[in-house]
Amino acid sequence: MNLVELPLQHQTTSNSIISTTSNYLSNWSRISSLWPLIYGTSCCFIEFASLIRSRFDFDRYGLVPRSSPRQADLILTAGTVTMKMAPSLVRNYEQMPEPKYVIAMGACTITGGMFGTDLYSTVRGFNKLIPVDVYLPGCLPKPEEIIDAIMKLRKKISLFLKIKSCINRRIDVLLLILPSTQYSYWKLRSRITLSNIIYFRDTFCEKDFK
Amino acid sequence: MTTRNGQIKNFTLNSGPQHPAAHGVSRSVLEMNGEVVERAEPHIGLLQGTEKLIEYKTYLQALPYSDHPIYVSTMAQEHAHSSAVETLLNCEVPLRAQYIRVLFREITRISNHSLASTTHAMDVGASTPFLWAFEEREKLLEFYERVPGARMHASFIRPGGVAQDLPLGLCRDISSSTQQFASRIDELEEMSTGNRIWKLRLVDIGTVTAQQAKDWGFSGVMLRVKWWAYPSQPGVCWDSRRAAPYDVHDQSDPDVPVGTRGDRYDRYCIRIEEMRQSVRIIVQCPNQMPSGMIKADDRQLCPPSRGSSVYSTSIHHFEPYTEGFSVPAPSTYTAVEAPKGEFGVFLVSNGSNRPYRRKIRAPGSAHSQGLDSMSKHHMPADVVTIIGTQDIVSGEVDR
Repeated sequence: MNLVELPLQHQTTSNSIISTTSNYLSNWSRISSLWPLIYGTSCCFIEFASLIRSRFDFDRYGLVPRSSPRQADLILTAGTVTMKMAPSLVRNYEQMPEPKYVIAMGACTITGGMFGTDLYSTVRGFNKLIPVDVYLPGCLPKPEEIIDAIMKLRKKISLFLKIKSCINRRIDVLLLILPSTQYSYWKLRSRITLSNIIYFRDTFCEKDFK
Repeated sequence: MTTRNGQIKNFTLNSGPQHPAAHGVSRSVLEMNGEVVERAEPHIGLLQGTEKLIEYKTYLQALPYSDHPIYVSTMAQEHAHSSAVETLLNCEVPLRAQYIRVLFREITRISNHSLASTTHAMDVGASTPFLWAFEEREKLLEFYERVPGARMHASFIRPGGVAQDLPLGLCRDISSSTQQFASRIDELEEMSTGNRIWKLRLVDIGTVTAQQAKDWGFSGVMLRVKWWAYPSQPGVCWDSRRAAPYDVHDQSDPDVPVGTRGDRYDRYCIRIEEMRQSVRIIVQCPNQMPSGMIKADDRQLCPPSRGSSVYSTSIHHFEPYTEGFSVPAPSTYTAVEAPKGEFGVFLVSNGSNRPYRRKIRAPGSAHSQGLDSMSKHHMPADVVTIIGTQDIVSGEVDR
């Protein structure tokens, strides 16, 4: 899994330095702040609304619902899409900036669901219109199941390699985290020694993904 | 305003299908003169077509399809569908089943009003009532889940009775939950009813006269308000539970709140008051509920329960699910007082096991017609909140 950890044994030191790779850093920032678009056509939208509110708060996972597709990076397609609504959905998806992710929520969006057999107007599955990352079955999926889908999406995003393998190992990003402002710059410089820098590189092997 | 060759035209703005306050998908095209809305035209048809689909299903298979159009108050629609089928079949529903139906319909009413008035509040700008009311709603959805197994689309009220009996301890939990629910309603009211900003946003906006309401076919909360110019004329006190009592509503006798002014503030107050009346009924129901059967005795209509010996020894338990039951020929219109208004089902049968036509009279489709007249000369922000006060859900407009 994607690991960006604080050095546990040196928590008492005033200067903490984390070593990571740019890949993990960017993946971590993406999974920790997936902002979904408030998009809902049908019944699943009410479960999406329950997810936003008090009991199944999804703000604690970093999801802040956004009204505009320009500010969103996740679309939880909640509800049946008909042929009349399809262009509107595709336009919403195209307006979202990269990187963007799609969770197909509910049976209606995966295959057409209970409206998929005999109905004249339903689109049988969102993957005819937009590329889908995670399929979440259910009619309705409970809010806990939606959270599970978001977890799976986070796992999927954390596997994303922006820079391919051999280069990935060698690029390190050193994050300097300064917890207090009372230390001046020069004092800080003197305190950075090799012993304070914790390397996590060995734990970032790709075989840990399995 | 746009000018072309000296001609001034209104500016057309699309309040599109993807909108955080669109209550599903509802598209309105607003013609505006500056900031003032001259005309608001709802464009519908963006959601599934349930009515045609039901013609291909048997009556029992059609029951879950009645949940989906109005997805916030699901058991009310099931009740309408089941009552229509029972009327055609001339079937008697046992008393215990009637009490269970009333109990769950009133739970549905509270659940719907808490969603409707607080999403309306969120459209107006107050986001806290939404948080509080949804916690209450979660408690009610827990009761939903305990009985039929699903949080929202229950498929619980079936032709002939209800699907399963109440589990042990449910009535006790419901009464302990309703004891604290009235104080939750008080908290919601404290946030909004006397609030100066709330009143400024809601009073005298979206007014409807009693005559207009009757002409447009409004029902439910929309009808029980009146116009300020005729203070002596009360709002139309039409409640299907009083006018044509069904099940055991004549024994529980709710008070029907009626408004005085016809604007959005009145509708909000009526919804709050209806929640209180529903709590009253919910408190009475478990006490009055007799023990007994929960399904009609007709084996054609209701399959035997899973635990009974009849189930394992007969072949009849396959038939209601595969072939369904045949319903005699004429048609019927059955209406119930759904939380949003009068929800009616016009069922036409041709004697076979599938409905020939099932027309849904949804309250929201009548209310959405009034959007234009209600939002004239108001701001676009008010259009959004008028959609909220009409308690429209796009599934019922499009069916």
